[in-house]
Amino acid sequence: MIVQFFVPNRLSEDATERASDWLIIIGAFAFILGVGSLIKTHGERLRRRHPDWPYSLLALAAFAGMSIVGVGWGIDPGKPAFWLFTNVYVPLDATMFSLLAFFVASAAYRTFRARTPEATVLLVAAVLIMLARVPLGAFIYEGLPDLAEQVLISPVTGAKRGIILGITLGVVATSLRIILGVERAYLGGE
Amino acid sequence: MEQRDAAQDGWLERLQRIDRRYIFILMAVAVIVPIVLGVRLPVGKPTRPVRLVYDKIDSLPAGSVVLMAYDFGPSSAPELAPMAVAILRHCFSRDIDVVAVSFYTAGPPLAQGVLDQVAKEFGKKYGENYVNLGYLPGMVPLLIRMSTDIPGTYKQDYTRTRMSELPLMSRVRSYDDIALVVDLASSDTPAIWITVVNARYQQEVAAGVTAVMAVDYYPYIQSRQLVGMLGGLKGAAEYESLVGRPDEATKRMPAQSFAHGLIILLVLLGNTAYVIARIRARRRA
Amino acid sequence: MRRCCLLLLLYIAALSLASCRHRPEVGPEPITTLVVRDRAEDTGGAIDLDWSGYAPPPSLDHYNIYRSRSAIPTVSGLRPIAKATKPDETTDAPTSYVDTPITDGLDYYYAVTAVDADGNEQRVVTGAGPVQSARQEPGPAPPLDVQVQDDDAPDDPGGVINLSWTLSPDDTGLGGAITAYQIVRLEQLEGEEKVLSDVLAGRSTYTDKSGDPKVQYYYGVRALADETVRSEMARSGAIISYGRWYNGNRTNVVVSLGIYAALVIFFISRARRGHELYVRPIPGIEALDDAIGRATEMGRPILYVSGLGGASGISTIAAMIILGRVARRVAEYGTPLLVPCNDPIVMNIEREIVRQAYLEAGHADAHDPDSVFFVTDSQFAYVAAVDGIMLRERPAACIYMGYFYAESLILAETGASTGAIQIAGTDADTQLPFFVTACDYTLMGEELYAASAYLSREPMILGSLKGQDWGKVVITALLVTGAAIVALAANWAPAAELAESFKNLFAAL
Repeated sequence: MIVQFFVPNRLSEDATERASDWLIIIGAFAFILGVGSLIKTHGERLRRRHPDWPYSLLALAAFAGMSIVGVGWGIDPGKPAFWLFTNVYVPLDATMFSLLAFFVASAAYRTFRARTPEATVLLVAAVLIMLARVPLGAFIYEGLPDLAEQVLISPVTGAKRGIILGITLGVVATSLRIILGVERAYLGGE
Repeated sequence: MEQRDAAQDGWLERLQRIDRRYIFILMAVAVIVPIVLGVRLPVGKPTRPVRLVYDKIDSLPAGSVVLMAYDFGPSSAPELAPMAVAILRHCFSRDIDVVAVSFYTAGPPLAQGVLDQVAKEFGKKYGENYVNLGYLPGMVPLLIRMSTDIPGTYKQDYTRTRMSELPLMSRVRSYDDIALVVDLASSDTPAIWITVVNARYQQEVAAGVTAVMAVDYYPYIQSRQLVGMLGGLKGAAEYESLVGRPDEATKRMPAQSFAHGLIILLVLLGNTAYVIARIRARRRA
Repeated sequence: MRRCCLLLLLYIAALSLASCRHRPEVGPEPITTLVVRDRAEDTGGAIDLDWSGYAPPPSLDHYNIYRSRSAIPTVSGLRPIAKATKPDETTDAPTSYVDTPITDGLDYYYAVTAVDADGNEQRVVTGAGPVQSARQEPGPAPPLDVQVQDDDAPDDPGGVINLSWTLSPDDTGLGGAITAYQIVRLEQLEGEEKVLSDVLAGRSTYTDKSGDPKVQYYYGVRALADETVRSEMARSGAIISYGRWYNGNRTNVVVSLGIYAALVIFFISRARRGHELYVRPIPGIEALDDAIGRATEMGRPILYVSGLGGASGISTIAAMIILGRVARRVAEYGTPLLVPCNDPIVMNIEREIVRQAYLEAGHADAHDPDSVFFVTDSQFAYVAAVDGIMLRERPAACIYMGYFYAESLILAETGASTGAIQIAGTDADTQLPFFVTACDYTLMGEELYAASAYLSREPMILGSLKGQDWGKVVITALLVTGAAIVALAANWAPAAELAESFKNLFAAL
């Protein structure tokens, strides 16, 4: 990918595409290992009658059920697998995401305390943005949404750019270390 | 006196440590009540990033083609689907045709649902006025291939119909035939559209993202790498007001208002108790 | 086991043979009355097909039309070039077709099949041909002087050809006699044409981006008066395009990377020579040992979540590096470790890392391979599973390292509710605020990448960290200089050129 960034020739584009295709193929095979791990982990729990074995039974049943229904009847719209996806998976996924609303409230209440000057600035900014992102803010003061947008555009974006700059340099440095073989811990050795 | 002080301190302590379960209940009430009661609140003046997207689509002539990327799943659909509906209504009302793609596995069925729903309102036909090309893996190589041959890249659409059988695809060959790309995303796909498609092929790109991600993309609007942006449910509600069809996003904004108001109240309550407790402790010391 | 495999193989072979056996042809009666001829009194490039002598069955849905450069005994392996379908339920499908545009002077063969409502179609056909198309009418005046040139843009991948031509004398602009120009490409001078595009009248340039590099092409341009009336083709000479081996637009990136790499290498060599390199303390990294100690004392496991990024993500690699160090300590103390994985490739790598860590700590027998396990690749299903693990297993320490999306707060709040000490590290700037509020310690952005240097204290890695920091100094200096120049240019006209030159140094790629 690095080579392809600097070498526009069609050969390097094709090589990158080929490598991307290989990555997808390898990922598919690795998925088989992942599924094997899932079955083995939960199977062991069932076999040993782990205290939470009903959850493992449920996990395996759901996995087997979706696989059989999907492979047997297809996944196109109108088929049972599609019905299960739209009526079971989609609502469950949305439900988990909706937990965020509750957790944001409890986390904000628990941690937004004006203990230090920095925490106070964080608190004030959070209240300002939360008010401005809903019609309530415009109802209280007409110019609040514009003020909040200025806060987002100037100091917040500036701070984000600084963080992103640091992250990007960190990525380059880590990549250099990996490419040069200085960093080998992720291969399972020193 | 000491007993009263101790009682008040206990009360202040409790205010700072409200059980999270009560907070969850209050949050549930704050979200459910306005929806059930059908509370309506004005959305307010549309912000500049939203207006930029609206003005761009409004300036396109009839017969133009907009490419919409549905790069989100069911979890972000409540925030991004209203954006899709509002933009589609705008496009179809101006006889702008739409080609949908997705680089998220769960995107195509969501796209199909939204497209069919809005197309029915305007009497638009599948294959002639809108097409759903579905999902293919490998975003960056696909975006590069689409620069020369979109039908050749996909070969068949989400319903397994061949490109040659879709009249719309006979006039959409590459980015040259696309007036605007709109990426509705819950991940960092807009950045990929910008760096690959806008930077290399000068294709104009607009984005619709979740509220949390919106801040990341302001720099791109400033540098004109993004035409404009819809951020979160408020962005969707603003676009609905511009299109003149308040719908799901506008209906849900009061719930979001109440939720935000509750969080602010709780934060203020906790801080008030904290500050009073600190003052009292300092006085005693 | 061997018998099972053999039986399975035999079963698969039987299934394959069963699917290969010859089936009798099904479908409507074949069309034997197909007549093909050159379209009369035209300007070339069109062949008329007619099969009106065919009696369609009641179940007919449409006709498939096939074309080839050689005789067609069967349509197996061929794709239809067109379909003749019923315009509505009450009207029959048409029994004629005009194939255009095609290349004049070349032999073409055709076949037409009838397809019923179930999609059945007889593959063995009676084809017609050969037939050639020719020009009978003069048509409009052709364009002149078609020039071709290999695109020489710095980012040219090859296969991009720029065409230009002189407008047809009959071209009076939009609304005139000429409506468009048709651009065709040929691989041989008298070979088959491939129509690339039509461009509107009045335009005299076109760029073909669909060619292959190092292949010789010829191009032709025709003036079109309407869809079927066209001029003679004006041809270009032969052209071969070559891609560039280096994108000159990215020289600034090469220079920047070079400077940065030089800094990193310089500090690595300083570290190797024994110079002491100071790095500021990061509380989150120092807390890792405390967290492991706490878990050991309480006899409860450590939960390690390496994020939802793929194995190729640098933040995931950084998380895996930290896992290696954590696993080493955990192996020494004998603390249970739980590593639920979101990606199967990451799972396999982390299994190896943890196994190796136990080996190096001298406790290979204590290693449980199932402590690193795959859960699911679905985001919120993964979060639900990890939350369940937290609430059931009650880990003493939760470590979140890697790339996270919206699930970060769900994880962190659930962990907080169990009373675990939480250390997070991510380069997902959108999730940093959530981790900062909900976790005890947070490694922000580049601190995640620095963690490896802190934990290993290896001179070479510390040296790269210093180089990284000096890279930031260089960038900060450039930012300040650039801002000063631009501010000066806004108030003093002579500085405008300097500001423009400075901006162009970092111009868009």
